[in-house]
Amino acid sequence: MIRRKEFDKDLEELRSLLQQMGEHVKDALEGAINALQNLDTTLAQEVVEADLQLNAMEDKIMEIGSRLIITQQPVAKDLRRIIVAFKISSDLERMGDLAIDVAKATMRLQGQQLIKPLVDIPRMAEIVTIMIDEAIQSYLDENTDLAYKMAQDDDQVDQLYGAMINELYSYMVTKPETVSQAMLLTLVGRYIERIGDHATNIGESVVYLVTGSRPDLNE
Amino acid sequence: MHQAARVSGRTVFFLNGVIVEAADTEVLFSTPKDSRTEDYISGRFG
Repeated sequence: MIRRKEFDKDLEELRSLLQQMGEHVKDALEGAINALQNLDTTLAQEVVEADLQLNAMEDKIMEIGSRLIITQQPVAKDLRRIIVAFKISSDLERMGDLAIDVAKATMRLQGQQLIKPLVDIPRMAEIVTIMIDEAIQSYLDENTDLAYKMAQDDDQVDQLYGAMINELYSYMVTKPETVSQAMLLTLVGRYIERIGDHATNIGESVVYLVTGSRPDLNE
Repeated sequence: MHQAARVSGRTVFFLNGVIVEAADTEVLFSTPKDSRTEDYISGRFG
């Protein structure tokens, strides 16, 4: 049973690292959105630089998970716990990269003024932040109900994204001088919408962890 | 136990002389139905 104790200890570390990665992604997104709203390039740069920590946590998860597979040859739910840790860490790492893309957009806006007050982008980010919380909580509690709820949140984000594109398109048509910035803001919307999709992927991983079968919540 | 997983097509789990679960090997070692089977193959007892 000593082996099992060691195994449980490592599984707990995987859980803790994934929780930390989730917190990191939330902070990165919050920082990136604040930087964009205030056109604060210093804050945007900080968001970009902090990504190294997220990558290091993903590497650590790969290291622990690989070691557990080699030394413990896990089966059933134990194996799924490790597979899911790999998958979720990869989703979280990508979410962090997308938050960086938002921060980099702010850097490209240096010296400009926003063509309009941002409404939909912060609202999308707010819902996506809730989704990141739900994703991590559903994983920690192995709660599939929460995983399915995230699919509904993702629909809201998609609707906001659609509305935002239409609005920015109107700007581009009526005020051609805004095209460059409107394109950039469209991309920012896309980045945030993709973060939501990755959060939904985490929900799918949780359903797989609990049931052994993989649903498609991104339909 | 891992030898059983490698070489067999079907696996039966006996506990104290009673058949707890019988299934295709891949199913028994991935999504066992009985929690005693899961506990045994995961090294929680035995």
